[in-house]
Amino acid sequence: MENLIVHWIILFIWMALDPFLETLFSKLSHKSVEHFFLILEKDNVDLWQRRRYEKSHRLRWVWLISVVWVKGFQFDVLCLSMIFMSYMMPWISLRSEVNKQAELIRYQFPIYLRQLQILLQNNTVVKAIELSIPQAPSYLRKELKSLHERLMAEPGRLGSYTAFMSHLEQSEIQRAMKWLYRFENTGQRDASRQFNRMIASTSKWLRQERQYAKQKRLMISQWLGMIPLIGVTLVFISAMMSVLMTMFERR
Amino acid sequence: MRAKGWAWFIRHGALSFGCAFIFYALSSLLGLGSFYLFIVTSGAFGLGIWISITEAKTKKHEEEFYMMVDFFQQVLALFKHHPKIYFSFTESINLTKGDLKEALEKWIDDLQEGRSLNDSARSFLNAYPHFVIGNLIHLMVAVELFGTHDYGLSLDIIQDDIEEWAEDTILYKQMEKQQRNRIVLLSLFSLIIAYFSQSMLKKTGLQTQMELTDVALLIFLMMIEITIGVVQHLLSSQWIERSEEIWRT
Repeated sequence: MENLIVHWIILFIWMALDPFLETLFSKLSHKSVEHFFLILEKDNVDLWQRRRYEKSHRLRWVWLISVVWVKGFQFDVLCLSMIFMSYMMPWISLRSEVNKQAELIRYQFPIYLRQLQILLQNNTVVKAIELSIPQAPSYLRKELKSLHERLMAEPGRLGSYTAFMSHLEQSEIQRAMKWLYRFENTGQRDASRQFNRMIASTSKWLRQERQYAKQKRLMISQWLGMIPLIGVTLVFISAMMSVLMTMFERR
Repeated sequence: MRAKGWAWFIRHGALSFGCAFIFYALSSLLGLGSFYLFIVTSGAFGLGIWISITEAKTKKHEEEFYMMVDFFQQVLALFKHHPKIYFSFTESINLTKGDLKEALEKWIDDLQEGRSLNDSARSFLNAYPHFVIGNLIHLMVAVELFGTHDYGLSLDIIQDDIEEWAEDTILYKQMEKQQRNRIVLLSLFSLIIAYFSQSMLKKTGLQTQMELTDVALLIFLMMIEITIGVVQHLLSSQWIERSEEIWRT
């Protein structure tokens, strides 16, 4: 009985402290979640944080009721870890979504850059970016539009270029943007040299990303080779069990 | 129709019966009970059909890929000397067949009917949305519509991209095939190990729980069949990378 009362008191205090705890926990992960939302172009971080706290902490009611029948330290640990896991799960899935998006951008950005290089043959950087927007991958369009606007306002500023997708913190993209800046702002002779370098580097980058993606897929399917070995282990175990059973029967 | 059906039956049937026979022989060697033997043989028959279908699919993808690369290289070479889409396509269409030929014929028909170049290019790109093809098509359309002299370097870039694309894809497919062979070899080794363990066990005379061993052997053989089926499925996947098809709508 005492155990039950202590549990209920603790859980009710916890529930009463919810507004304070929710804010505290949200603050702890606010920076990373905000960064993820920026990459995925989602809105309303606070609502998402509040919802995940509320959903995960609904489990406390199950704990509150089941503590009437189930006792023991292990059960408390199990309930606490379940609440913790259900609180963390949305963050983990959000992070994996961000990783996927970042990987896709890393793969498709050199593809876009190649398209831009072809347009650069007959256009300035600003015009080439403008022309490339309708044909660019959908998740780049919004960023490209703001890059175009920045370049229209301040074409000679390096910051106008490097601000493009800076939240992704990908050095390759930043390098490509600096190339574009140099290409646009240096003299004719140097520009063509820069351009050739940019083409060569993009080819290398494009190929690396393609080969990396293919290697990754091969590595995953390589594990299929383990299945027959697991099967033969199963046969071995069954044979050993069979021998043991026979020996026991004879005794 | 009947001849086609027979051809289909002979092509897929031969491999299925062959596969079923191999697994029947292996199961008999391992001393599997008759009911389990029937399950394994039926599974192997299905696997044979699956292997035959996936092999045909792989062959088709391979042919289509080579044909597509050849066609675009030819178009590019022709366009360099005479920058007209209609001319480049009509001169190179003989290199194609199947879906690519149909898509090209549709584009040529559209051009003959006077439909807008951009619209017909868009419907072609929906069928072939790879970025290299997209870059080539967009450049060709731009040159034809607006006219320019500085497109040589762009065509060179695209030509390099096509070559690198083909090189990487072929290399990857070869590696996939090697991997499939490695997995088949591993399965064979595990079968040999299982055979020796079973024959040694029989010699000791200690094995009486036949049911348990039979179930374990059934699971083992089915695992091998499923693994080979999955590997074949992976091998028969498209040669064109979906993540590079950025103009898919």
